[in-house]
Amino acid sequence: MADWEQKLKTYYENDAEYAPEEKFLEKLKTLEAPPKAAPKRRYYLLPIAALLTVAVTLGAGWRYLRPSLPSHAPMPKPAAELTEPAPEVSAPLPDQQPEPSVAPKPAPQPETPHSEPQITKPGGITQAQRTEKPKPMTDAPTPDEPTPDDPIPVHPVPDDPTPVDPPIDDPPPDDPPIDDPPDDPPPDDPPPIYTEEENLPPVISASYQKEGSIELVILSNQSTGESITIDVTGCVGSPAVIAQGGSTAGEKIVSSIYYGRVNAFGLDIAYTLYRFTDGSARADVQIVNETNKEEKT
Amino acid sequence: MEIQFQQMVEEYAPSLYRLAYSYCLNRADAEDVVQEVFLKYLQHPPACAASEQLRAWLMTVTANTSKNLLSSGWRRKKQPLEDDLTASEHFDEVVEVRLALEKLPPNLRGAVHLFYFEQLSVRQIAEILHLSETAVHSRLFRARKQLKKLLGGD
Repeated sequence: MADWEQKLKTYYENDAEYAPEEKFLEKLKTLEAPPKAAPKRRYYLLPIAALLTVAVTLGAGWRYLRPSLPSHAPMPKPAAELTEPAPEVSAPLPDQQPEPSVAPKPAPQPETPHSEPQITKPGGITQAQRTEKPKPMTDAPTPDEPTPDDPIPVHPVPDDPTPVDPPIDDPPPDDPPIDDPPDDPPPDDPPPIYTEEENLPPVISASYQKEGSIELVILSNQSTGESITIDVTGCVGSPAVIAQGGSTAGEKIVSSIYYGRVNAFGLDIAYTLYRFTDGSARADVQIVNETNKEEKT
Repeated sequence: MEIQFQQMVEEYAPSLYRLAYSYCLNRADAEDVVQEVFLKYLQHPPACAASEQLRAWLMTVTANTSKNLLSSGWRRKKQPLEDDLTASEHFDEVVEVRLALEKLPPNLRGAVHLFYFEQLSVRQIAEILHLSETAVHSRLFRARKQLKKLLGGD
């Protein structure tokens, strides 16, 4: 054994620090297993649960209150939202007929306002009504209560191309075209009863006026032969200008509103016609292209 | 169960303490290590049934706990108090060897203690310290070399 090994052995035998104390050993004998630690309390769960509860409550409240908000109130159905295409109007092509359309303008009616009952379009008003005080939209004359001044809706005259149209939302497929009105409608049909609520469209014919404009002829008021010219310059992609001779919306009481749709020169034109009590009219027009892509104006 | 634990303490605590002391070279730390080893035993008793296996398990846990204590940041910053060296006829030798052992790395001190004091074989030391026998041989070789240089001799 080497010298250093002997010194090491001596150290191990004589170093008092190298042996445990009796007191320490006695304490070790009384050592007991510590109680099992209680499961950790997850304090972070409480705020998370509170946040989740608040979020769910707010979400449920929002879903409940959302329909009653003014911004989500049901809007009147615009003309552009009409899903079914309107019956085509056989309008002349621009290059074939430079003159205004041969669309059936209202034939000059004999001016016999009192001797002959004035024809009223569905939902329309007469010239006499325009000059008089405005009436609410629900005050449409009915055949049951005729008055001497009020027009009585009667059976349309034979040259009147306006058929008895159902609401524009569901136009029948066999709706006769404007250019080909029935020559001899059955004379025994009962007079139709129209109200403003039915919102029946006036018949409109379209004719090409000049480049970039289309004239919409409103046949509903045959006494005035009213027409509205719509500027459709760059019709797809640029807004169309509202008709001439109109009135600013909101200034006067609107007596009637019509929704309609007409096809002219390959353009699907949806319009909303506002007739005012002073006789003026205004049309909000939307150009719907062939792919039904709406160009709002 | 309690009697078995007391007998186990009487049987293994001195050797465990010395092993911990060989690493820590401090009584308080060695006692902490031994106490922690027995607490681990009480919390998670090993499945070994034979006493040799239990002894090896206890020594392994003691060595690992001592190394963890030495490597902890708290232990590095701590300035241990000087232990009182009891005067004896071999006082000079004890101090000399103590100083020499302090200069050895802790892993070499543990291997020297197990080999020279516990008189375990290289294979047993390798099992306790989770080392290969070659690594144990290497540590013993380096420890001998340094102690021979520090303590002198042939």
